[in-house]
Amino acid sequence: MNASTHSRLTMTNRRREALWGLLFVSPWIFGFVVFSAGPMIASLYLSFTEYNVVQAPTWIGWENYERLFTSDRLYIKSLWVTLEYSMVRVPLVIVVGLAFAMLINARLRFMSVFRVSLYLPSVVPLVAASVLWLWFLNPQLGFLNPLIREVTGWSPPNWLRDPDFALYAIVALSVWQVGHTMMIFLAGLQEIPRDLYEAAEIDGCGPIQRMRHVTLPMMTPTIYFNLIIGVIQSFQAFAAVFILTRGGPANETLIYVVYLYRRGVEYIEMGYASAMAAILVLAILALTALIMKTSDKWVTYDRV
Amino acid sequence: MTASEAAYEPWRPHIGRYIVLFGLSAIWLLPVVLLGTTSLKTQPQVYDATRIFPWPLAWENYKLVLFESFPFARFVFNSIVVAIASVAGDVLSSAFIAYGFAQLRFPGRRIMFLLMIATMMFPFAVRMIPLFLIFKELDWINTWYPLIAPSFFGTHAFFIFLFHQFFLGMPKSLMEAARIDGANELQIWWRIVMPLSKPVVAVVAVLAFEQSWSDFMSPLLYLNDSKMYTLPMGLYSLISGDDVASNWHLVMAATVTMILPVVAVFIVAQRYFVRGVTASGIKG
Repeated sequence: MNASTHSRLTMTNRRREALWGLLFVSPWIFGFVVFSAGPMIASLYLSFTEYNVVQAPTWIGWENYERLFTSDRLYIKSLWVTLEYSMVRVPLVIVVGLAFAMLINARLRFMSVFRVSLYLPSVVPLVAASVLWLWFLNPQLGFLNPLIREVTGWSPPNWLRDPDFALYAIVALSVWQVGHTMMIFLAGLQEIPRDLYEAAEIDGCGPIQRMRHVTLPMMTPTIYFNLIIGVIQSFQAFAAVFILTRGGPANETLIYVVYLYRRGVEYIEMGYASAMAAILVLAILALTALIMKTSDKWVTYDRV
Repeated sequence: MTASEAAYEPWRPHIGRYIVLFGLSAIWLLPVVLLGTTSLKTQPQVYDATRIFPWPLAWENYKLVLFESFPFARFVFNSIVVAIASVAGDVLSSAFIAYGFAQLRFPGRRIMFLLMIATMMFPFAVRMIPLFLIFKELDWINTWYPLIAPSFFGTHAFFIFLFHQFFLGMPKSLMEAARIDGANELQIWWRIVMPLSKPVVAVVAVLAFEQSWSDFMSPLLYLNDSKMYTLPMGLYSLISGDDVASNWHLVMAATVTMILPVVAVFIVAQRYFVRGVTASGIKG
């Protein structure tokens, strides 16, 4: 075999491989165009139109965006609610998730029972969990309020109908379903080399110092990961709010996607809802970029 | 004493931790236990909220919810059909696509892979309105196609990613040998790679099942005929009705019906499942 036939052979081999490769990813290309990129571009276009499905979309330029930020007080409200929800939920889920993971991270007897107990609620589908919460927090027929009344004599608020508490009741559901976050933290904890703790102990570090100088720095990549996932999830929250409060009371739980759904599906303002969708993408991108940018200040990647 | 038992630390120095864990586990399990017990209460017992254990057990609640007062048996059936179809779609398409990304070189591979990963960041809400319009144009409203069809086209990037990572770890020599024996890529994928991929297939199948079984937003958008409802929509329609107030025992029976299959799958596939979730960090 001389050089030129060899190179021709590898050329045809390469071509063949490329064709096979494209064949294998072609379902993805189709799905990406039809179900992801296409709809997103269409959504961007619609955001500059007025569209009620019955009549063809009419181009109105930046009007939807102007309306969002200048005259729609509910939209501004929904932005605030979403921000408040994220700022309460994300740190809480991270702190509780990490604390739980540290509690179950030991080779102790019966530990698997505790692991399953704490993890199980997060397996419950969100819709089912929300319905369960709806009953649990029901002031008369649920469990919590009658119990509190019986034990303390204090009559607690109607959590989901009280503007001061409703958002936190929804956060509480998130914290109850902390199991997934806990498991990711557990996996992170188990990757910390044991000898780091031994070295710290030899240096005379107590449990609190070990946590401060070994566990926390070594966990920053996992915290970072959960922080990003947590923010993205908070900005997409829908089912729990839709089922528990539908955005009420007094719009105190009018979270972003619930308002988007209301405008798009209930009022059939497709163009207006699409403008909200575009801002949602920008907000998620901006927040993720912000977290990524600050990450090199506190995330340690060096493995000793 | 087995090796794993020998590795346990003594429990006495950890008594404080045991007490905290016991308390937390009890609190975390309480709503689940109450869900089960409430689903077995008779209607008068519902008004006695702090009575935890009902007696006699009202098993007929399940009969009422499933067959008589509410068509939950139908919703269960619908959910099973949709779940089987979309799990099949997710597993097949993700494995197929991932093989291309992991084992074959072609122009545009890197950029496509990056685009695929990037789709994970964009919320469904962003595509919701155009998707609704597309499915309406296709006359797919009130059918299960919008819940199933996307699964067949690699729309769940994370599943592709899982297969991709697994395929990267496979020895290249295996596929080279098959190529020399004259097998084409399709045969290699189906006859050699897939039979070796049972652990990832299990993880993706469990996650895809959980995702399909729990999906609320798509059915909310695309289904308005209650005969077509999957369980999340069935449950939602039950609580948005007027007669919820005093019928919590029935609502709880319906909720248990929705949760049981997921918990069963979780128990059967626990090892894979926990590992898959740990690797992903993404719920559903």
